[in-house]
Amino acid sequence: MHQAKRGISREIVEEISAIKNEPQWMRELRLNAYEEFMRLPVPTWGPDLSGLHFDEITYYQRTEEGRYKNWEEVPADIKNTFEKIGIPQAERAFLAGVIGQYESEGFYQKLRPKWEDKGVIFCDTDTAVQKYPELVRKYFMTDCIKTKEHKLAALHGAVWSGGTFLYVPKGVHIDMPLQTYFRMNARASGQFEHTLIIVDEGASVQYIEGCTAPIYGTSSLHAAVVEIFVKKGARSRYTTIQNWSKDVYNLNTKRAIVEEDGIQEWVGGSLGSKTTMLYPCSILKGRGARAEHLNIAVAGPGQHKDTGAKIMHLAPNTSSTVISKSISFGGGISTYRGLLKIIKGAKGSVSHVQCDALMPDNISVSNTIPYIKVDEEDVTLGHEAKVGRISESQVFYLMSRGLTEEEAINLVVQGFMEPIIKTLPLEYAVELNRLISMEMAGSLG
Amino acid sequence: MSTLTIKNLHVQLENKPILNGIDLTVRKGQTCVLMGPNGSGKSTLGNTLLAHPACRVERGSIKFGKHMLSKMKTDEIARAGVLLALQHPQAIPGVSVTNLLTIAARKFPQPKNFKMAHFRQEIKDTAKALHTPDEFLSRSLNEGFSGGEKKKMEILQLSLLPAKCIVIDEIDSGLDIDALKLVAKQISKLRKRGVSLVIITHYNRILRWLEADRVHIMHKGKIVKSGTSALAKDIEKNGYAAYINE
Repeated sequence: MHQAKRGISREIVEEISAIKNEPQWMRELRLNAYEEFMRLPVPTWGPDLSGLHFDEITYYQRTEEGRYKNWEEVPADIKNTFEKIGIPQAERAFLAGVIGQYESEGFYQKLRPKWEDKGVIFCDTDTAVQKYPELVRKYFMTDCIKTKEHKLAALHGAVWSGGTFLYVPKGVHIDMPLQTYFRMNARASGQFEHTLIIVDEGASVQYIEGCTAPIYGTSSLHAAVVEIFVKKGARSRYTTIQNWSKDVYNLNTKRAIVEEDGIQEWVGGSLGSKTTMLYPCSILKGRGARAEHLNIAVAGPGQHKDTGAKIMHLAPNTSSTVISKSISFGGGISTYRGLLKIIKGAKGSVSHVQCDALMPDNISVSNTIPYIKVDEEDVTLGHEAKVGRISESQVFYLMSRGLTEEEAINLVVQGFMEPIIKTLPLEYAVELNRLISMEMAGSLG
Repeated sequence: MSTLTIKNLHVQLENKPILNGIDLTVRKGQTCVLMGPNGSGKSTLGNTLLAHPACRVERGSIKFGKHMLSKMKTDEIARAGVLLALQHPQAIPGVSVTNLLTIAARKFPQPKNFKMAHFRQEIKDTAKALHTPDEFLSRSLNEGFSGGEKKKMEILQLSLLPAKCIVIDEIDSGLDIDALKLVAKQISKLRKRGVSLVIITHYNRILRWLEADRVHIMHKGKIVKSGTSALAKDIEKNGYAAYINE
């Protein structure tokens, strides 16, 4: 079996670019990013990343390697998990990381004709580099997220692969959510996928990626980048559910630049992984721009979720809402880390941040670190933070209606997550509910 | 038939004896009223019937038909048909009464022709009978509800689940007179269905619309006097003093 090289070097970065047959500008972008990566320090302001060894990671796999040779090799507990969540049989082998269980192009193919007529581009980002170089070159890690920002962004720029490219032309409204069904799509998934979304003036789109089911990959690092451009009067909703296996560092950078009267909505669910750092950012650049952030993070035993939202109000009458929910159990740590910045002159801006934590036991941790910097007086701000427990009285109440103790606890948890769950497509909502109750069942007495 | 039989029941709450030997029998379809001053142990008895984890049975037994309730868990007791309208119904954020009822209904033995769509309609009809606006059916249960709305929600739930015996704890507190009338009317409907009722109350306001078969006065964890509805009338006039100083 082909053994991919571990660690990172200039040669490996060049090799990745060569394998992909990339144009010179992308090759240069990668190499510059590599230089930044070597220069920049590992961030130390958040969770402990000392277990992350960049030299031991495989950055690009030439062949699509799996963790197991066949379904029979997959351990029973993983099979069990899929059974309990109700993952279709056809998808289980892929999720478990069995070699050769990919079906990469199907979904795109079906979608293409319907939207292509209107000028919509929806493909994987590698393909976009080849087919739409002007567009990609203009937006790829230029104005939104720069490779020099931090070590992980630089690493991503050097070794990125896969992801989704989506361009919605002026005035086009896509009435169904576009999904990268990435549990079945090898090219869109992976460790360093780059998602680039451009919603042109007056257009609207909802994009969903990720997977509620646990993904058992081969690597211990996932460092994705998502860049979204919401032009004047446009509207975008980006939804993602991620559930990496519990040995993974999930360190992502996601940002949207929102122009005048544009709306960006972030909906995120973070399950799985060992350590997650994720703070989707909205830069409200144009007058009247708006951002909504909905996030749910679940931290079980041995897990550390450091998630939040970053919002920059750079223009008058901009508004933002953050609803962040976290569940910590079995000793898990979840932290809301927020940055809210309103610059001088962003008059009439409004922001409301709500952080709710649920902790069913006494051994878990929930932190709230909201950083607020406001240089304008004519603004309206609200911040609420609540920590809740599942009370004996609530459980008794629900049990007195015939629910078992486990069902009662699950229902309280589902109710807690409801504001986020209701924005998800049904199949995600169902899986997410099942998954969380299953994870918690193991930890609660 | 399903008779509720409580024998020599001793219960502790936080290591303090609260019930000190209760004997009580409620036959099928009977309406039994438990009265008594604050702290007499009425609510503890109600909670013990549903096996509240804080109520520790030290001695005695509770039986309902063939079910030994004092050895069962709360949810098993509920599914055996014994339900409790709580004095302090809990708020469950993000869960509406409709959510809860549709989940709960599946936990009970239901007739063969049970249809969820029909059940949902019944929820609406019952809410209407209680003059509860539809929006309360989809809002988070009891969250920000007034005392009266919470009590109506309790009766709504108990009306829709297949109950055989209903324990109603202080339903009259927090209800204005019109709401109390509606609630009493709904309880009467259950009674007509043959449901046994154990009504725990401090005052006897609700008895204006509900006829009691038996009235028991509790004091210091014991039943100190039993009688008919005339007993309740006497208490309304003369208070508890005559019974609790014995």
